[in-house]
Amino acid sequence: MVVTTQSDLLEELRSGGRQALDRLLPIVYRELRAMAHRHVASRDNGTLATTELVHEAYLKLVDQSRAEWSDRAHFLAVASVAMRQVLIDRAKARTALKRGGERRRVTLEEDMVAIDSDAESVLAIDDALTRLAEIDPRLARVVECRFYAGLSEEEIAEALGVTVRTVERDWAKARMLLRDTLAS
Amino acid sequence: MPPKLTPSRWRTLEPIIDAALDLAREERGAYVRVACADDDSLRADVERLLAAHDGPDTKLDVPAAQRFASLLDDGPPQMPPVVDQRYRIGPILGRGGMATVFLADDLRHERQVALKVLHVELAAALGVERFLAEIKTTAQLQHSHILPLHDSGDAGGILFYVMPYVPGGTLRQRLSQAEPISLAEVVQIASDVATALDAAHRRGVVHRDIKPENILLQDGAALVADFGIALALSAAASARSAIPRLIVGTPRYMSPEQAAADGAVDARADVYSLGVVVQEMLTSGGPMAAATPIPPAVASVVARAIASSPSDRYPSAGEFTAALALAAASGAGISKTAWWRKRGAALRVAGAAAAAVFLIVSGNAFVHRTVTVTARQRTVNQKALDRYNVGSWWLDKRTPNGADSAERLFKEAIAADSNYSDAYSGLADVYLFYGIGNLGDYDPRQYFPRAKTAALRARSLDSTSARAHASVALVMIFDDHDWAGAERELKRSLELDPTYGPARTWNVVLLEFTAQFNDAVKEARMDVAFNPLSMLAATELGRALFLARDYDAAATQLRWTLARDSTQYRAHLVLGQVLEQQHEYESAISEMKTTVRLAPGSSRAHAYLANAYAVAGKPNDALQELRVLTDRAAHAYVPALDFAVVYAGLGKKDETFYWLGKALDDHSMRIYLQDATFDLIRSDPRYEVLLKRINLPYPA
Repeated sequence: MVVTTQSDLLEELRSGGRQALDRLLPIVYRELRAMAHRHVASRDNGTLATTELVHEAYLKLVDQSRAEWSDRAHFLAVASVAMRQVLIDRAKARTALKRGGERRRVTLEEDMVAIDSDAESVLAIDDALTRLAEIDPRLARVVECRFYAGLSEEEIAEALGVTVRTVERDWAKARMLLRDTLAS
Repeated sequence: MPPKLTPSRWRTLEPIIDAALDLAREERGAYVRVACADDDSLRADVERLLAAHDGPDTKLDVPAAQRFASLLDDGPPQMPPVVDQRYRIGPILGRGGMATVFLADDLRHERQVALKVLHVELAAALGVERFLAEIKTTAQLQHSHILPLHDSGDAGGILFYVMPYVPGGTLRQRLSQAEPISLAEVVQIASDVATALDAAHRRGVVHRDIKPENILLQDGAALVADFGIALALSAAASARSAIPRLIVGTPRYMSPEQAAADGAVDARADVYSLGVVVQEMLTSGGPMAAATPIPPAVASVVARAIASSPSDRYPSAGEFTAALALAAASGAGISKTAWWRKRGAALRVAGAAAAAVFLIVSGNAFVHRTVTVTARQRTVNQKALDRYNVGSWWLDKRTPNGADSAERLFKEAIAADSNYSDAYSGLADVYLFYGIGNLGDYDPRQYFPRAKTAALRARSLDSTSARAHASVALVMIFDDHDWAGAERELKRSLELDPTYGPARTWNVVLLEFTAQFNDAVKEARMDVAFNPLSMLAATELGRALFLARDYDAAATQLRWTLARDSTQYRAHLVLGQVLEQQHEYESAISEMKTTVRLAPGSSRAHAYLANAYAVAGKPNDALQELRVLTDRAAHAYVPALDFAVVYAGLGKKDETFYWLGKALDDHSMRIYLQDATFDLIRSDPRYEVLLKRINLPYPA
């Protein structure tokens, strides 16, 4: 069970911009952490579905009777940033705990995964994504929405205000750039 | 090692990459050579990136939270050895999103207790004093099936409460065991919970958080824990001006009205949550367990308990579980009458749900049929299993990219294990979704034959696979229009695994296509009861209600579906159709526009936007949308049925029949034929001929 507030979330979402994001992020962040926590702590079987987490958070945090289509898109965009932050925080806490030393480089090839701890992977992917944002910020946003929040292409298109076709293409390009970055 | 890519370098590369990606894979090499002329370093960069594009899956293809689930788990709270000079802390019994439960020794009374510690963040957000005040007033309920509250307190910021220790464990723990819970046991547990709920409801206390974690099992009896805690949290939080509105609960078990947080939830919110818990118990043990089929009468009772509108539910928990016990005792199995074998007879024969008769059996002996399922113990190698699982995840996305990835992964699974039935079924489903048109405009004549091959192969590899039979059934419905065959396959599928959700959904589709609308509604309600999280099932119930011409109920159901996931474009489309029938033309047009925006690649969306314009008396706008279809048809496949949809809206019978005939030729005939779109042509003799061609009787 989690407890949340939803008072001015709609207003925050609608006001848009960086400020709204900053205000919303802690609330969504806390909510996602609590949910992720609950899923992992109590899960009976199967895997944790990010999409389900994010959608649950939306249903709970936003007054559905007043919400409009675009509110949801904005919320999902914020949630993807929050999800990324949740993972980084957890990974940092974990690595600080265990060694705090130099991080090893990881690649995206599946066969290499075994030698890297999850925490290191998270941080390496995060680094790569930061570098990707320097090359093309929109590509990085697409990855954020898809990888961290598990959003569908349609949802990403709505959240970022582009077409589904653009999302598909951006994802392909982001994927090749990340692979390239992590390989070099 | 390649040099680090700079933003300006990327700006040079990007247009070439974009153009290359627009080409077929085999054409890219030649293009890149021309585009890069004699700039070897440019060409090297482009080729390296394109090679990366063609490479195998990356770690990014599986969502982060799934891949890194282990990281999301916090450690337990740090506890002093003794809390409040009274409770010696022992091992952790369980952890949830709200609290951690410790086994503790109550030093004063020399007994074992369960000590529940609220998460620090939560305690801080709520305000300790207010919470403790509320918990005292709301947790004084006394009942043989309510777990009492011994104590509560604040030990240096650690907010805790103390309950008796129940060694039997929670219903959640019981659910996680492989052994399924028998129907008799389900009724027993639900009835115990109901008596506790009724007692509390009579005193005006609503639990608000009924779920398997809060139901404890002891010597065959069930005890409800955390009574009043949800309310205490809610009240404590609302008292703080910083948090004016608050929802407490667990989404999966939460009723719609509680999720909407209008503050006015009553006993029926708990009835809903208990309904979800019962549904979960009925499907316990997982698909591999030798399961008891759920009698339709039982499913109907559960469906009523979890109706989205409180007024449609049982008014009290006791009435719900009494109906449940009665239905369980009736022991009705899955039986249906195949009406198409006696054409000319009354068209609509009662289906599964209606045929279930309540029989009162004396005593407490619950009669239920058990089907022994041959244990499917064939071992699949790990790589094949991994590919299959990830493929299924992608397929569930219901997007062209998802299907594309799923197809590749299923093929890899088959490459790793050529006798893997489920992977063939998965592949069949991919081709089916393409052919049916769920993913955009793909020519069914290219996809159905492949689907059929894969589905039949899956069934021949494992005749006990529910998934294989369901895939074969779907081919029979959409490609062969072999209704009796599809019914047989679905029946078999549900016997083999009553928890395989898609088989139920396809059964709804079968009933809809064959114009048995009332039965379709009943079956769709059951489907939703069994799969409360399935958006597909929720949308199909909306469509069944629309086909049954219950427009208000259809609109409510579809709006509820869209509140949960507003990207369900089929729900928008059907809602638009409903609004047309309610003469809400502007709203209908708006829904169709949303459909177009969500599924720009789907001609059906444009066709129905045109239809809405036409029906709204805006033929010029309709013709403009029709142009989209004709332009598209000049260079790509557009389902013939979509043209029929437009012409029907424009009231043009001859053209409508022409295109419906074409739809049979290109295998694009769909359930839309049966809905209000085509009412215009039903009295025409040509309609009877059309129905004959898809093996359907002409309604008397």
